[in-house]
Amino acid sequence: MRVLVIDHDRNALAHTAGLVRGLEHEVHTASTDGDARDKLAAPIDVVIIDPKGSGIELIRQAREHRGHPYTYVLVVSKQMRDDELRDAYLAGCDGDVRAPLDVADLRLRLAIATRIRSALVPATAAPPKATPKPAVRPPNGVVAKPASSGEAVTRSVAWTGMAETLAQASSAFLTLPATVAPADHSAPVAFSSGILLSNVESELETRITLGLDRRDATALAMHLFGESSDELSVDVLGELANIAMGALKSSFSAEQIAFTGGLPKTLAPADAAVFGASAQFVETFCVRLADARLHVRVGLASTKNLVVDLMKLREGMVLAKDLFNARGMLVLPSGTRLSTTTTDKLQRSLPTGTTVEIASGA
Amino acid sequence: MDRTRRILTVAADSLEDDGRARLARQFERVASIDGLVSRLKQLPSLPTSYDELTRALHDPDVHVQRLAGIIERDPVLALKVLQITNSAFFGTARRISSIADAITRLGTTMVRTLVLTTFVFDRMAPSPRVMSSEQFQAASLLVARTARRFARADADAAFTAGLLADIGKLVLAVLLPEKVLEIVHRIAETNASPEAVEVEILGASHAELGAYLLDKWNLPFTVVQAVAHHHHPSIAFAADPSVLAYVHAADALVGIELCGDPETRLDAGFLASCGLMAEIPQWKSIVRGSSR
Repeated sequence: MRVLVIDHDRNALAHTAGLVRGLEHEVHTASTDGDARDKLAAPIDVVIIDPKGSGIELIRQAREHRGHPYTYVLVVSKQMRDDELRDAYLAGCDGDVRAPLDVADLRLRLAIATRIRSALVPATAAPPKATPKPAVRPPNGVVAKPASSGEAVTRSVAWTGMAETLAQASSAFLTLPATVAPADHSAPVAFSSGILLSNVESELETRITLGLDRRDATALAMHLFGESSDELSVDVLGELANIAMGALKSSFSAEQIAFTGGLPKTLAPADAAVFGASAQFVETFCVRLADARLHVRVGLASTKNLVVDLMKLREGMVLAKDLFNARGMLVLPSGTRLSTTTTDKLQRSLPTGTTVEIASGA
Repeated sequence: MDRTRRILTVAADSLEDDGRARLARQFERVASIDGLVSRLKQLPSLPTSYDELTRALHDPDVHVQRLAGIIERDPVLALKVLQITNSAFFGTARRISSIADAITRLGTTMVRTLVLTTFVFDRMAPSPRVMSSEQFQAASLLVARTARRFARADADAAFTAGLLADIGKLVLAVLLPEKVLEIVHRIAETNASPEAVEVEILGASHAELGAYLLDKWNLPFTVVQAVAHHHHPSIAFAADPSVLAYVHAADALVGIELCGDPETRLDAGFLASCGLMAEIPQWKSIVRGSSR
């Protein structure tokens, strides 16, 4: 494999590069940001990077080269705080390992990279012609949008292939042709179903919301049962929700993350709007089942509290811990949902550099 | 006494009377806080050693050993006093191992303050939902130390008033934590000052409540007045406002430096009337140095 090692510390760079070379991989190195950017522009199979300094930005950049086959990103660092590690994963890294690297650990990590790439690269290098990709999905990985900011972030984990798997399994279940299509946010939805999946170990939570408009729900019920009613429409959607759950589990298993799912839940329109609203990363798409359109929203949230810089607080965030000032007086209790006023006051009154623990999914 | 001095003395007495009258009106507001007076009875009683010390200090010929004996009758109290005396806070060069040494070194007034402080900080248990005891103590000590450094005279009174300036907050956190939560939410959602919100919700401010309690404990009027008006010194009637000025400046500057309080917390007009405006730049640098 082509392995790019990025480290500003030349000694560490030489150490890692030597180990990689010893494992008979093609090694490229970069000790400066400029050099790293140049080398990331070429196809690279694995990036090994120290995430300190500009490392997070470089990881993001590695993910932005969408024309290349999948690049596996491994971060190596002597000391990483939880929030730094989290930032690295959110920027798109696939694994982390503590420095100094030893050869056995590196061999294991590169074997994982090989396995994941072999699972992803053929599928992404030659996508099936009958299944057009939704516009929001790049060839490699998934475009996820932070729910609140709308800023696109490319992620390596999760959801890869979920849309296709869902389309194929739905097609088999309904005996209808199925394709993946871009989301249509303007479509009215009459029936909704939601599923919550969680992984306690990784402190992740995924919520899938499925929706059908009345005409499509009726058509699918007629197709499946030979008759239609609201109850049968709900049943169809429930079955599709189970299929979606299976597709998502399968997708995450490629990342070695096992999700446990609950039963699909029928959602009233008002509940559908808030179900999954807490997700930090969201993907939406449609599965076209003959003429019907199944609207899918997948949201990923960490159940771990977030440590947020004071100046990055924003309206709607919920404090995970009581906030005291330097005099020991409570400023705001945990559970407070920040308003514009409170956010502004906190930013004016607490010292710069203060970090605030925010409830995940808030 | 010449005529001018007599007039000044009468004026000062008159001012002090006005000050006492104003405080009395404020204390009426405190006493009307719903359920407060009955709840104050839940507070632990002042240690008998504090009362005994106060009485003993009225005797001009009292011997250090007698004062030490009063404190040493309560071993826990004696240990705490020694701990504080030997802390970096006082910066004593050599270790003080006896109460008699502490009295000699720090003075009787200061040791009496330490007895009171030990009681206030150790025996009053604020609800952790609304107050972090450790941070509160550290900030109170910082204000006290700062006020003492600012003081040209009455340094011990400035220290005591600085230490106890926010005792009203502590009492609220002990007795009325639900009210504190209500106050916190209101402060967060409005642009009103914290004291204004306290008066709106409770009927009195923490400063008035603290002063009320200290008056009940028979602390000197200078200290009570400084605590009562430490946020708004201009409204005080004080013949000698210097202790109030030091405590106000120390509290405001610590708040500005540590808590991001607005600069308007410092009453420049009042400090100018006390002839202390020129001190402010140096005081600011003292606070910056202390809070690092």
